Amino acid sequence: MDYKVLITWLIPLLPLSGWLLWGLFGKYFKGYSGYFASLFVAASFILSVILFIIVSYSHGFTSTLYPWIHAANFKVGISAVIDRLSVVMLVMVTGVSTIVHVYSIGYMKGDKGFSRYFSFLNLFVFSMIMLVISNNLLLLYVFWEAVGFCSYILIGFWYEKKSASDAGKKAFIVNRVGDVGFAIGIFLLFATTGTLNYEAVFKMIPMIPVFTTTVIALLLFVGAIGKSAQLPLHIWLPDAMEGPTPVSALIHAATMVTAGIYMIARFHIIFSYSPVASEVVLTIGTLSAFFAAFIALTQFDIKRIIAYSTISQLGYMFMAVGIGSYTAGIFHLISHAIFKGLLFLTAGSVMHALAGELDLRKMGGLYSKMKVTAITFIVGALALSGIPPFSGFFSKDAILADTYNKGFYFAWVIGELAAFMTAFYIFRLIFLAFFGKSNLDSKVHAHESSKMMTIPLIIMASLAVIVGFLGVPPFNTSIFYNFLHVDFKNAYNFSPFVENAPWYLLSLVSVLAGLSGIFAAYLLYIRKVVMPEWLKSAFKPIYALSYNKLYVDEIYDFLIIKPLFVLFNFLWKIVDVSVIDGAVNGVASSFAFFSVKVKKIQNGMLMSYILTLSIGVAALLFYYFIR
Amino acid sequence: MNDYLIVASAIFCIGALGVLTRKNLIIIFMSLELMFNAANLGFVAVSDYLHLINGDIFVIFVMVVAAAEAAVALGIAIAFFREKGTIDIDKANELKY
Amino acid sequence: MEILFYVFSFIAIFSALMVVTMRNPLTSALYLILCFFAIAGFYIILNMQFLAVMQILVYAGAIMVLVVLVIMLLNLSDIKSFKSNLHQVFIGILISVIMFAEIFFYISKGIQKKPVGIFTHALIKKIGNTQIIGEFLFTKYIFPFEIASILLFVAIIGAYLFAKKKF
Repeated sequence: MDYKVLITWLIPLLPLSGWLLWGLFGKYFKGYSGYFASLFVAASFILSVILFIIVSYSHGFTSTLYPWIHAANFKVGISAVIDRLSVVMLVMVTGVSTIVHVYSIGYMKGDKGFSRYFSFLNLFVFSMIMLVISNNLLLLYVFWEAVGFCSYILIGFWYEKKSASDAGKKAFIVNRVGDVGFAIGIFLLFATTGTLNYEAVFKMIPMIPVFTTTVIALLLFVGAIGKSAQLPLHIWLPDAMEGPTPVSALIHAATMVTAGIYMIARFHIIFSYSPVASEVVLTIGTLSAFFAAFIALTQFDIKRIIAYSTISQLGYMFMAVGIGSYTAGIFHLISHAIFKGLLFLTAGSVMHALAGELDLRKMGGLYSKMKVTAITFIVGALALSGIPPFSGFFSKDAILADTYNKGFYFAWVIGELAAFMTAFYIFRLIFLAFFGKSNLDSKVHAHESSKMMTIPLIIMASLAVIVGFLGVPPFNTSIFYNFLHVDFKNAYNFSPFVENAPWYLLSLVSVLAGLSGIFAAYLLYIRKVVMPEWLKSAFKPIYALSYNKLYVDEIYDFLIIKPLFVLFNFLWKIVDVSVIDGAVNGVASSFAFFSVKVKKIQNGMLMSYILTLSIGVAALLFYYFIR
Repeated sequence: MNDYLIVASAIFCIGALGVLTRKNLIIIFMSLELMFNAANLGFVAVSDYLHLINGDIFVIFVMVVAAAEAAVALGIAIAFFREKGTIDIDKANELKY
Repeated sequence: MEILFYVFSFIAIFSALMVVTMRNPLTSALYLILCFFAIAGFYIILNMQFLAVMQILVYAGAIMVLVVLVIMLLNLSDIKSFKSNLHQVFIGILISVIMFAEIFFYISKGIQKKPVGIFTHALIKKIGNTQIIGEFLFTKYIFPFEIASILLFVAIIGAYLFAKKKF
């Protein structure tokens, strides 16, 4: 076997074997399963880096491990496409996974589901890797579902807790809504092109009518909305924070939720040939970026703030892929994976120190007690706010500059506004949690977390500083752009790039938006120029709108859940009780009636059985005779 | 060949008659053996007529099965006798409900 | 040959009737042996001497000895004859007669199929029926043959279990 192929398949198979090992023999490994699991994923990471180097010095390839379905012209294999896009994703996924695994050893120490946790985590890594490298839509769909399933079991990891298992169910059900659209999109694509292989599909796309392409693209995008928690279907992500925090960092910030962006980038040909679908993507992305940031302004749950921030940042990525700047979208995906993973991990560290406390109002003054956590958190927050030289500045600026230069001024304005709010809410969190006077519960003894947890934080924080320099503006001459753009050269260029404004001016606006957000938070929460309570009462309707998360849950409750309850009540009380139960009971009682009659035949006498048997034989012979 | 088949079917029906009318387990068993032999005779006659050998081979297998069946059936007869004190088939009336 | 056939058919049918009508199981068993000999005679007429020998060895020799042994073991001659009720006898006769009638009419319609095999009387005589059967049994039918041996083994165990003092 070719060594490239060997490496390609070892990357997913290592976590898969890890899943089987810890899942089946977890109890024999005791506390060591965490170390072994981390080792397996780390090996995957190293192999990914090797593959990355191979691909960047040569060209991509596809390899088929096993022909899965082979029926006439329909061929689907367990096969991988290795190109620059997938190796970048691979390195990101395995890298963040490795760090989260190591962090989890400290975080989950002493939990009775320790081995179970790591086996699920390994299963997730396997599914995510397969999702990234699969080269046909069927395989993609299988692992699209598999990561959703892993997310479900990991959100509900502490299944004794009602809220956790409910959150898991919610995530699963909301994802179903999106996945139905995704599945129909795949069916339609198959019906149109007759194949599921990426290459073959992409060759056909320019030839099929634009309307069909648009419908397919929109249906696929519905799947992306569900998986990436965009506006109408975002409600599962904040609740998903019930799971262990490293899971939030890995699945609900860095990897699984970005699958939607990866999918659109992978299918850039479909989306770029349908400008309408792309505009829908842009609209949804912009709205999500704005409104999620708006909701995050007033929340008090530290993890939920970061979750809404994730939705908002994913919105930015959808903006990028919606205007055809796929490279910028992926770049923001990578940098976001790092700094958002970092924010979640630090939030986990805070939680760990405060014995599970998540309410901002019960924190404060933590800076002096846990310096490493506080500093790494501030690094992540600066990256999120888009302050140079942190990675978020480069990636977000790349997106916003492209938006402006491609002529989507309105989206650009909203994006800048969202950037301002982003900076505000994340620094509001910092000022409330780490500075000011302590509102801690007197029983809680805040302390710095163990080395097992702080070292990953430091690694992530330094990465959050370094990675940004891959995309030094102007973005379309940067290293990252030159590396990845090769994969997107076939995209239909529906919105040409015109340099409407020099890059430094646009960057300046972004930085100013971020800085003014930080400054506003500083004035409000440290200097207390204006009391937040006064603002709250002055803008009561807006505050309420934000605090209640735009009432989306309530709207769903009213529009979907209540009518369903009425319907099901009707079905239960009327249809079920009288019709179905009646039918079942009627059948049962009629059987009871007839069986009393028929019972007499079964008298237990062997002779009568034989007699009946021979009558049957005679009758059969008679049938042959007259035939 | 038709003559052989008619003789075979006659023996078969006599065996069936024995199975249906008699109550002694041993005699029922012997009637069953009669039916086996009738079938065997049919096999051999047809295979002779069609110039084949398969029927003859099959007869050997039927004999094997008959031997096995004899061993088990007589074992059952003994067990049945020990249980009920008789081998009247009408006493075997527990196979119900 | 014709004469022999009729003699054997008469013996076979008569003794078969005797088997099912005799009151004493021992008498029935003896008539059954007679019947088996008649059927062995048929096999000889049909050029299957090997089968005839097997018939006598296995049926008349082994199985019937077993039956007689069991009859003696259970000491059945003492037990009063099992009285069949008339109702049952009537239905039994009816069904048997109907069955026989059906088979009879079916056979007498005639069988149109022509011989398909190569084993004519002459060939069987030339090679010898034992050799032909042996060749087939140990080449083409070796798998069923082995299965049959397993069946016999299972039967031994089964018989032992049934006849054991306690289940």
